[in-house]
Amino acid sequence: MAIISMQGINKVYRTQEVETLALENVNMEVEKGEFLSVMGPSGCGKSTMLNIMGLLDNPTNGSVFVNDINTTQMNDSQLSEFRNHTLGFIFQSFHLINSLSVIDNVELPLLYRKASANERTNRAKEVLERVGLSHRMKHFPSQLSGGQCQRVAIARALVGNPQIILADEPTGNLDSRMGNEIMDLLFKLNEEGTTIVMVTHDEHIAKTTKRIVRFFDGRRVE
Amino acid sequence: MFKIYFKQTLAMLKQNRLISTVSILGTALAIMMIMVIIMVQHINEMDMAPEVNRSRTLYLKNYQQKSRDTLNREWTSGDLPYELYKQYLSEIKVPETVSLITREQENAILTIEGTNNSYTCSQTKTDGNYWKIISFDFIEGKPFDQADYQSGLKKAVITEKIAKKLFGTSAATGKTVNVNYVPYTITGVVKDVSPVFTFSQGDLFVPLTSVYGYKNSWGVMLILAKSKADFQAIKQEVRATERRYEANNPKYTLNFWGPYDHRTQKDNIDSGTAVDESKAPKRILLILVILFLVPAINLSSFSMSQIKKRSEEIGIRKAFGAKKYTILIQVLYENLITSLIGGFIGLLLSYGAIIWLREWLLDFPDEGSIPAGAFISPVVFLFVFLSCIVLNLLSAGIPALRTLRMNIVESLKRK
Repeated sequence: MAIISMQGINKVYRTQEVETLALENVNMEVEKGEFLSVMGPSGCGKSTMLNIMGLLDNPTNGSVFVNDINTTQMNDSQLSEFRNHTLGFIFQSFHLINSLSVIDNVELPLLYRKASANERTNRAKEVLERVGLSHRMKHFPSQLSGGQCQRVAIARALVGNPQIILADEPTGNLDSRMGNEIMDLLFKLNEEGTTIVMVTHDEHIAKTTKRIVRFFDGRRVE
Repeated sequence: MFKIYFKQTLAMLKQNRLISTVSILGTALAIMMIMVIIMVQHINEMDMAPEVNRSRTLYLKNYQQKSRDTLNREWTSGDLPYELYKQYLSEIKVPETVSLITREQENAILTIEGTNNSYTCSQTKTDGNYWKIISFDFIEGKPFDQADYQSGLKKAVITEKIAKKLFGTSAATGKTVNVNYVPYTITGVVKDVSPVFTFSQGDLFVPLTSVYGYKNSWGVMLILAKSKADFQAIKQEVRATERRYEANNPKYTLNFWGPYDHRTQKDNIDSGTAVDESKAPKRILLILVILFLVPAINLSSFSMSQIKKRSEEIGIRKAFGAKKYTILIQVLYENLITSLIGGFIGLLLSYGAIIWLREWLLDFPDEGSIPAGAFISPVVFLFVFLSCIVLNLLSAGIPALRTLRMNIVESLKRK
């Protein structure tokens, strides 16, 4: 059963001088519980595709269905709420908030669910325990290594129990040892039933996932 | 949620000390200028002991009488003459009470029989009703009353300062003091009054009728209304007395300038013209608008650059479910904390400015002091708080709204 379905997606970037076709007629489905890799050369549109799939950006044409719900009909406020409950994000450059402690960063998605302070803290501690960083709760991102930052980002992505995690080059800024640790975490999550869509340059890592989709020049080729 | 925003604001202030200092100082200076204006108005207008009835008191200071003869346009104007007051104004019905006070241009000389000491002091001549309008703090005795005034009895009320000079630590009530070599009995001693209180400052108070030649004196009429709602009716009654005068004196026209409320009477310094009562509020409003807008525009460009630096954070928050209004509230709340810190510093700076520049701002001598109640006042604090909110909205609201329009992906790309 497809948990995500993208149909006829086009994305055009327009400036005053130039029009760029980032995605052209992309059709794609992601099955529930799948661990899907998206690959392609730089500028092929894979990150653009992931952003649209994650409802962070709007397609110029086409529809995105998540859990059979047509998200392209939703307004900003509805999209925010939908993302909060259904999706988790992991970025290449972690995107942690430097002025918040580790635990405050992890609690972020729950803040927008109006969860009580106790609920937020307990749940955040739980996921930090899971990623092995409960001893760093009060630290700030600037005090952590790259791998630790990415683990915090994974904890943040998990804290709301999302059905789907979207990861954009999660090991891109890490050395191979740390990259392997992160991938182990993601595999564990997938075994527990979380659907994961991951953009990666690394063929070796991609081959360990269940399916690979390839993009070239804004089009899906495989 | 707000606890986390508060923690984050403090963390950001610590992380960017120079920028935080500039931002807070900018706000502090803006609030300082605004609060100097507000507090000067407040000090000049608020009900404050002993002038506890300012808000329901009208003041009539000047008059002008003109001949109707177009060939011989003689006219007189000036302070309110005693005779005019007595005949036409002292019995008006609408107010709760009325009083006339005069202030001797020269100081009075005080001497005590049997001593060689003499002291000069300022003298206020008034009536028994005065003590119902101005609420002095009597530390000894009591004031002279209307019956004393009507009988022209030589009774006096002195201030604490004068009592100490004349009698040291002994009680002054019942004792005799020579005022310009005429013996007066002291009926009461009041606490010293700050020069900021125009209609109650003075060292010595005597019944107007006790002074030789009092019928040729002139002064200011104080009109205590039962409530502010009666102001219009009182003004109409004063207009009616003008018409009554003109009916009795057909060769002349008479204009009383006023009566004016406490704020407007300050502008009534020229006996030849009436005061435009809307002028002062408009002037103050214009000054306040400028004082809000100029720093707000400067701070808004500063806020804009600060918010742009946080575009990535805004993108992250939106990605994880924050709605636009949630982020707007966060940005305004964080900026409000900075504004309140700046506001507190600005308030302290405004106290310093008022104390340092009191002669220029409040027009009274250096040796005077401003009552503490002028500074510690709910009105003042409310104005500071509202000023911080307005400045916050003007300086951070618009930049925040503009940044919120940015697409999440664009926001995340900015570092």
